Amino acid sequence: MKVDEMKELGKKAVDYALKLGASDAAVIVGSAESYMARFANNQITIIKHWNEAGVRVRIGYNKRVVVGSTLDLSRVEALVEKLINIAKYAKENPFYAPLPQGPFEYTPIEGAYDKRVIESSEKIADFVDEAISAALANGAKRCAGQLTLRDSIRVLVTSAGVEASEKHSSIDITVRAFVDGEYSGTGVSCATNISDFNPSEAGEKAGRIAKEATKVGEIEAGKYDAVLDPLVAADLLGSVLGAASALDILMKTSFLTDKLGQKVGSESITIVDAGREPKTVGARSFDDEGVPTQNTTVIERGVLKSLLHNTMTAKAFKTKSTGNAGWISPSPRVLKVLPGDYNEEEIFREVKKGIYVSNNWYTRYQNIREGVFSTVCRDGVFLIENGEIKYAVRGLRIADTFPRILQNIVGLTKKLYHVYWWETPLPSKTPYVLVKEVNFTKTLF
Amino acid sequence: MEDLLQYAVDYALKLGATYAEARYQRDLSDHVSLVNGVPLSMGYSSSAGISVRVFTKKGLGFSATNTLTRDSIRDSVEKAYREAVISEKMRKSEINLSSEEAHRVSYMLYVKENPSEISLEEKLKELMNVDKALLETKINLPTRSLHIFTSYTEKTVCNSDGALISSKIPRVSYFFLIIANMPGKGTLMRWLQLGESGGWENFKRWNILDRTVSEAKVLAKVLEEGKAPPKEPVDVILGPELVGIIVHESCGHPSELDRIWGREGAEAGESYMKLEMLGGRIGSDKVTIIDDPTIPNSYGFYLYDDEGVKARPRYLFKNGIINEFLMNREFASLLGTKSNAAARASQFDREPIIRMANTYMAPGDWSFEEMLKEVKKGVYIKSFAEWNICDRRWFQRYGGLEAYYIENGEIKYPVRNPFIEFTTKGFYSKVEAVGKEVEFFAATCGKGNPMQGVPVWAGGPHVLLRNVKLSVAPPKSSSPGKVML
Repeated sequence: MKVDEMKELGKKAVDYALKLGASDAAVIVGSAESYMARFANNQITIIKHWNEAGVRVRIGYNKRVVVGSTLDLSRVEALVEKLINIAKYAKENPFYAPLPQGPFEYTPIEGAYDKRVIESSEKIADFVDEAISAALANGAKRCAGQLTLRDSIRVLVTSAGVEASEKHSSIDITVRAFVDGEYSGTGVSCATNISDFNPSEAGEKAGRIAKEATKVGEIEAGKYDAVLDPLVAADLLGSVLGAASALDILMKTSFLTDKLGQKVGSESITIVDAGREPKTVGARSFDDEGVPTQNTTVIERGVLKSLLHNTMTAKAFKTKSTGNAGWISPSPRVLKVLPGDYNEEEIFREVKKGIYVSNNWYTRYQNIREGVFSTVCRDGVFLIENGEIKYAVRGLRIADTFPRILQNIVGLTKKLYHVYWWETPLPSKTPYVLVKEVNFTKTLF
Repeated sequence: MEDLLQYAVDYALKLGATYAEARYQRDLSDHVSLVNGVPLSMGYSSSAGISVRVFTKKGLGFSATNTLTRDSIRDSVEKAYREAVISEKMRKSEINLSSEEAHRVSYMLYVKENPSEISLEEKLKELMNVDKALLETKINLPTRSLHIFTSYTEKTVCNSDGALISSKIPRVSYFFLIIANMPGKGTLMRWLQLGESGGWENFKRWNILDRTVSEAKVLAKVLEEGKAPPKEPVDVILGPELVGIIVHESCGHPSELDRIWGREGAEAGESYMKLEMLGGRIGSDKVTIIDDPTIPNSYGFYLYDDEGVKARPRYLFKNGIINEFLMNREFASLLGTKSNAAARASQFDREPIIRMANTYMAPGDWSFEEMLKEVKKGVYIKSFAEWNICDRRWFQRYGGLEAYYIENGEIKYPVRNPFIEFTTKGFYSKVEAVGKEVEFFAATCGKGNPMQGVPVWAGGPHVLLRNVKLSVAPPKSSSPGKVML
């Protein structure tokens, strides 16, 4: 779909909503072409292609807010009618705030779009081949994974004077290398442009960890200092950033509730929602309400400095939107953990006896209000002794609390890694992170 | 619509496909959310489109579009064929499909009241009544997050073997998350999802008001009276909710043959099961686990899968023996057998992959009271909050929520946060008694890339395990100090 057609569709929908009695309206029209190659056992299992356009609508009506979406472009008017009907008998929302008055000025995100990404669809099998070859050269026996490339346009039209559009591109690969079913490693590469995309690097890391994981030893459950790989840091600290959504605070479903301005972590940790990070998957120049995005420092040297807001939550907290709408819930765009001063060797050298966790998955809460959680260690997990990796260990999970993890962060590397994969859908830039006294558990029968 | 689908299939064959399949799917859904008494979100969404899968000798391509014109479908077929050809560059083995009867069937679920046609106003009223009742309990509940979702799914699948299946299935679901707080005692969180295919009459049968209020009262009781779980090994009775999640995670998922073969290796993971384990022992002879899409009113209900194969109950474990894998046509052909109709796609633009439907442990012959009498010292864990499992489905952990200490066959007092952490074989080997009554719980099961959430039920009866060591929640306090260097 062309941008002008998308804007026209958006304007029509907004006008129609106003005609039917809406006090304000916002419409997002999205259009994307994507390819995905999935592979397993060193073979491509399927290549998928999508060419889709869709519309999302937010309608304000007498201090009520209703939202809807459709992937059926012939039925946008019907969607608007349905939403207006819903709004008529909806109850007043005490958090209601009108859409912010535009127009606004937007500064494009540097390096957000590269048309060479979608033009590379013919090379999709070659990229996969390159990644698998790198993994095999580093000790893997077989690889599974996916490669996705995507070219998209996003248009926002609001009744408050906003008419904006931007193009994005992204390419990402996940490689999981196996030596056999028991020993594995994961590497990822993601970029908004072809030049920064490095499938070999993902394959190399996956292969190296899988091979290293074949040397297995024993370990008891207990508290250990832990070096968290950038993949693990992205997942866990992504949960922290998500907990800074002001709606979660209002609803008291966050362990950061009532902590604004207070110390919630060690002085080593600074977490930014980097919505404007150049050449980064997920960075955007305007949010769903049309507010220009910004980089928001959420935790600065351990202190909770800001929450993430849309216009509704900002009104409730008597502050300004941080450009993180979500029409209902504000949400993070890009997790950026500010770097520390270690290089990778040095951060491992700091550990006398500890554990390197190369990947994790399945993070779940026993108590979201208190941040009590566990997450399963995945792929190679290694005992570190006197700064050196000694051997791989099996069957561990981190079972701890987010307040304590944040409090116990003592070191981060200088280099940040761009992380974005199936288990970590929030795009991230994270370092290796050293956390002291992390609680690890094992099965008891 | 059938003409368009047939056109897509015929055109794919003309291009050189060895097999082709086209599916139209339309999903209508609405939701209403009431959080802490605030009508936070009401909305409606729809999607409709066609996807095609095109097989060549060694390649598979998939393409989806929501522009339902002949030109657009033609373009999709060409793209899918091109992808299949490109994928052949990186594939050595042939792709075959099991031979199946080509059914031509149309079915729909008849309901008294279509949940999608019940106004959101009425749904909101239901939630407001629950919220009011929660407030009347006088229990301090700082979080009361209540949601009703309904959906209506229409599918038509057409393939080059001559199958043509159409279905229409409405579903309704209720989800709540509440947090109770008691000064000096901390907080406890409870969430629960109920869901069925069928009409609004099903929803009414759940009595969500009483159900939610009773859960709030349980939280208050556990906060007020809960004690630490015993440190020494004890007998444990697990309730249907726990048994449901355990069989879903440690029997259902690892039985998916695409995982066993490695196709989901980088995302949802692989499996501890190997092909040669079929027929081998995994647990005590009390353990039989069934996955059955055909259960009336079930959340995971269907009669034909998205490859047009007729559904039936799958006996995954039979008396402690690994009996059957979950299969689609591609993976059944690798075993030289027939598909057992496990192919499902969550929406029009997702490929059908191997999924569970309604997974449960088959009932035994014990009443709960008989089980209780057997226990001298033990813990009964009725519900859970936290859970997770490794991606080979072997190491798992469940955080108990409503739980009680048992002494000499009697329930004594609530136990707070008992955790149970075990291996798959460790659990199934310890099952000593299985209850008579099966209860089901709804869930949205995730798998695939892009992620596909599909509705499922998970359930079972009570089970008794002997001599189990429990673990505890991580301590709340932390002593800031220096890193051990």
